Amino acid sequence: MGSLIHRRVSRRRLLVEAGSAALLATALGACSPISTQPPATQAPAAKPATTEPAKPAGTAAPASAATAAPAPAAGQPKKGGTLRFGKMGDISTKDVHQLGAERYAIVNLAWDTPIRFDPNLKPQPWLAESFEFNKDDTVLTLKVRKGVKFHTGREMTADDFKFNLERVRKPETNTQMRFGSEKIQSMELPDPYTIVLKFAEPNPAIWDTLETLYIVDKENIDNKEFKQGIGTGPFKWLEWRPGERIVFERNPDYWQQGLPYLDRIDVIFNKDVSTLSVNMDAGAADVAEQSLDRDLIRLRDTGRFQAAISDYWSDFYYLGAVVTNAPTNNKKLRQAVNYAIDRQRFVNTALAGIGEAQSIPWPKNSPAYDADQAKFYKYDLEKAKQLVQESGLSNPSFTIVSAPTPSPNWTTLAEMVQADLQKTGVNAKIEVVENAVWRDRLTQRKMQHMWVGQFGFSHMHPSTLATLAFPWRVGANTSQYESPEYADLVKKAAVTADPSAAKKVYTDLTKLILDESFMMTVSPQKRTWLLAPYVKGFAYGVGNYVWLERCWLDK
Amino acid sequence: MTAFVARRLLQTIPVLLLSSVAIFLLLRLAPGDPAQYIAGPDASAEGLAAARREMGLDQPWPIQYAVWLTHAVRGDFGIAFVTRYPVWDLVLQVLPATIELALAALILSTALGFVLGVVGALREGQFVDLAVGVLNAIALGVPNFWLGLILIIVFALVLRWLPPSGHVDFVRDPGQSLRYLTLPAITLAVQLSAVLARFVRASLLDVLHEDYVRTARAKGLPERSVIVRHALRNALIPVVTVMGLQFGRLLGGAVIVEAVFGWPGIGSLVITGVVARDYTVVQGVLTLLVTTFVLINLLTDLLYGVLDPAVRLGQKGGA
Repeated sequence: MGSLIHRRVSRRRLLVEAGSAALLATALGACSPISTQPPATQAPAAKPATTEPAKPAGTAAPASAATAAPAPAAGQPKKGGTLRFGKMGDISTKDVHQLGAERYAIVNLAWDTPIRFDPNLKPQPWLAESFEFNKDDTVLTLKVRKGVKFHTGREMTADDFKFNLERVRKPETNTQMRFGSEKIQSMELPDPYTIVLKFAEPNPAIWDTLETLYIVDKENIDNKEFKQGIGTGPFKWLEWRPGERIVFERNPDYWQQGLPYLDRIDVIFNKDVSTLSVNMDAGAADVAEQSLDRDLIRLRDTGRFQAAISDYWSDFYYLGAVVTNAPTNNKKLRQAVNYAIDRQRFVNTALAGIGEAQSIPWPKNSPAYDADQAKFYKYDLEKAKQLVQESGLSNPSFTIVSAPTPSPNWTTLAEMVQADLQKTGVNAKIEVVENAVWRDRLTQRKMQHMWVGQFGFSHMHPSTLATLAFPWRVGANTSQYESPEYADLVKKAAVTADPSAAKKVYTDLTKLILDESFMMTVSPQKRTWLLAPYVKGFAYGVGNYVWLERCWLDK
Repeated sequence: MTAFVARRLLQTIPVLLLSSVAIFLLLRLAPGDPAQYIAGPDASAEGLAAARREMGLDQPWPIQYAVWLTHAVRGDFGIAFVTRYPVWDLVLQVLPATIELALAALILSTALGFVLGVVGALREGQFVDLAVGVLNAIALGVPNFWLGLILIIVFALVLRWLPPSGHVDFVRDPGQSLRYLTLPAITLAVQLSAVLARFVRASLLDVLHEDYVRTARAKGLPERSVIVRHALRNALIPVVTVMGLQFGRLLGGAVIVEAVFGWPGIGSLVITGVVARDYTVVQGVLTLLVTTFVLINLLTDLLYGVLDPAVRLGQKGGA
């Protein structure tokens, strides 16, 4: 090697040398990918309570009963300590009204909502200490809890509810809550602690808006100098180090006396989903949110960790189909694809058993859930072949778009479907694109044939899914599916308050979704958390947002 | 010397301009809409238009570039689309971690590479030299993300001596900071030390065969003095260049190593910016990196000139 360099080595020569070394390293690096398939493991059976929606009337007690704790917080809570909460990816904004899928760990730390849902999706008092609908469900009166202070020290009043409801409906706020707020015809403030919301027609879905309306400080949020989120939550936003962490510190003036127990929460962002489990395994984190399912099972089974697996299904894996482009404009072909999805195999392998094979987009605690329809599309390749024949298409071919993030399961699902479709004479090509490209095609309705992804909002009122979730949205969904029947059923679902009448509407809506197969639900993505054994009082709501005001460290 | 510096400084201007144009164009040509990312999947047409207006993306590309450039030359790299923090603030936030890692890796690799290179040269053709050569080849061949993962498994998961990922500010807790720094620094240093060892060995061997070294020995100077005073000093000239280039590369962000160890450095900032299509962050940070790299290159050239007058005089064309 010494002969390569002479007495006075030129810089060009040095660059060539350095480049060669780097190339050698890169070339060798490219030769060492490792891929393993997880063993199929059965997750504990989930049996959430299912009830009919009831007309709610709130009471003054905070909804601590709505808490779903994975492990009872035995013993006397200890105050103090820092919780290291690991999650995938950074947040995208300081504005809580604009937070997207990354919000689960964050939102209930610094902010509160007017209500919280109990496990049966019944609204419970929170910042609103009581609420009542009039007889025809067109006027909702909310009493605002007194003595609640923002982190700035200013007292929250009914005017803050009004400000927030008005803010989320502004187009420039760009929030999903817009649709719920837009249905409010007028808002009145008879006194500083009362707000009256009036609607043109019954609006049972208003609870979804109130359960996700994080009350922000009007004196802070639209300020040009807006540096951090200010709400009324149990923790104050202390510092955001983009790409690294957000630090929250205890709010000593929290409206629930004695809470929270923790002094500080470090929400640590991980760039790779495997890092979440590695950090837990090595003791560098106390909580890991949504680690790989197989890692969760593996680490839980060591006995060194607690695993919390949510029975509240807010998100689902799905395949979407564009109904305006050939060949997926053929309904028989779409139904064939729906039959060719081996949902149970996907749950057993990709999700390590932490899922549920079902073809409808409703969780078991939803009023729209129907056990018979849930299994409508059972894996049946013969039926799929027959439908392909009936479609009149000869060797149909199309593309399934996937993305490597946020979940490797997307491409796994696409590959499984591709392999099964091949047995029915359908040729599916998988195109894996960067998430930004996937998102762009989804939101701009630029998908060509099929795509794989996840949708949310399933835990809310059935009409909310078709209003808020992009792939389902009436008149603007990615599938470009439009029909008067779909629009009519969603509209009816949104205004029907009577439970039995509503159930009939939900059934018809589900039948239509299954028949048209523009969206093919595969399995819920159950939210999971891996917890260190000393983490107590960890809780989450039906939307799978984490509640940490009663969390404490037993060490 | 002044003319040499002035000439090299002038040469940096077109490099910076061309690179800024390339960065600007590549970002715009990449698929994905930053306004959509910011506005969210449920943005209305008005909301999307408002986001584009606020981000300055409703202007034609030449105007966007001109606006950005006029601000950038005054040191204003704009406000990040996503975080709404000034890009400078974001850079300053991650810079200490980047410098920490780069310096640690450089110190480690210099120490290791220097020792291995000198030992290899002084024991040319012997078993030790062969062993050093094999070690270097392995170090160069092992991908650093793989090495990083192995180190995590061994030192974090099995032995539980060191944390697997993350970062602690040195000023806040020096002890903890060093614990977090150890594994990523070693990971980076291994490959770098192999590169340095090769250059030190080769350069020292060349010098050891020079007439003046033979003369020094003939004069009866002790071998240590011959090696340290006469041979090593001259052998360091090309090594300095390599170190300068490597340091520039390290400051540019050891992207993969940062990702493996969750290290919040410049590389992570760029990746986050690219994923979110945050044009201002990526443009600002990459321009700063190019500038830093060019300046380090310039300093290396100047140092080269100091060490070797022939370069300064233009006889060897040190550019």
